[in-house]
Amino acid sequence: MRWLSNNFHSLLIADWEDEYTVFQPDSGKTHFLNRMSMQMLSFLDQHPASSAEVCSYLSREFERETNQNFQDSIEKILYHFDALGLIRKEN
Amino acid sequence: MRLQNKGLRVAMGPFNVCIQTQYKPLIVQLYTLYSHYRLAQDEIAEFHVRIVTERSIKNPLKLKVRFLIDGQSPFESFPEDQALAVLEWGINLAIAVRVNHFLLLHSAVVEKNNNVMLFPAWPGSGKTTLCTALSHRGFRLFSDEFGLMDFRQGVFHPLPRLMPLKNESIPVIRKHLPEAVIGQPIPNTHKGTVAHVCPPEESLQLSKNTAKARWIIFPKWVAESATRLEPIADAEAFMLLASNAFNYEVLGASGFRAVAQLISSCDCYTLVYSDLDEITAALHHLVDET
Repeated sequence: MRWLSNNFHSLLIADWEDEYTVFQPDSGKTHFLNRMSMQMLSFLDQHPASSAEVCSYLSREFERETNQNFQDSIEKILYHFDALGLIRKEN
Repeated sequence: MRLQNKGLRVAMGPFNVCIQTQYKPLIVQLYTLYSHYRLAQDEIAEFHVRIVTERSIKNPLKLKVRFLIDGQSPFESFPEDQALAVLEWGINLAIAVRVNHFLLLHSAVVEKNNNVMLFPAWPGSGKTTLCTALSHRGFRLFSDEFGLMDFRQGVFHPLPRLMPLKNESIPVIRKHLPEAVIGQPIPNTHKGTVAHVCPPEESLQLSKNTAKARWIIFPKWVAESATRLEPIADAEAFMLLASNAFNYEVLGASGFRAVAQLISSCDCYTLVYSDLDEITAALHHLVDET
């Protein structure tokens, strides 16, 4: 299964030095994102990717070890973003 | 007489409120506490409010009062001695529910040197007490309750209204500000005892003068605490401020841009305090060093 961002171009993003507040017009909600979460959304806006590919990309960007904990937390965030409508599963 | 007939139109910041009542004790209180407000008898009123009296079938000997806006009653009736408190709550409710051409923050607001200081907080944080003290000690009162931001112009509008002190804060302010004009305490309201402080006259005279925000301070009164004024991260301040606005979600993208603009242009702090002299001095110092 691959993920891709959902209307990333429509988001209003305020940058507060490695933290972001994001207004999502589709839901009218405002979200608070750290740099890794924002990178995740931005990455999925470039091209669809599996959870493993997202993990691999983020581990390189943030010099993190891709252990099971890291993969689990990324997976959790992906499903949370899906629930918020920020990303979706590729058809 | 106007209060009893067509109603008295009172200018409150950017709004005119038409108040009508035939309840004499309230009329006496209003003529005392509203004596320095500008009248706007020939102008359009945004809000038409009334306090009417009624008797219940169950207890016909007991007079009650009811708040009406445009003839509609948003509350139940209250004991007659709470008429002033009910009127003030009703006007606040009308502003909170109906005003969407401003970003409406739940915040005390004061001004000094043409810069606005916001104290966004939910009830119980001591913002009315703090605002009362500051507005009698060198700051101009904008509001103890509403931060009215014109998000097109990026400025705040004053809305100086009576400041309802509650419970222990009443004797504290009487002692701290012997010169303050305070109405009779109203006991047994759903918020306890309430007493209304008149805005300083100068704040009323300057109530057309808008200003831009410079500081956002999230206050919390904690008994016996030392004054602690600490910077807060912008993103955290953003989320706190957005969750504090009455109409942030109604305004959608405009609300987001307004809050982002505010956070970008302000220094943001959290504040814990208990001593009014200490915090007043600290805030004057903050203003002076800017």
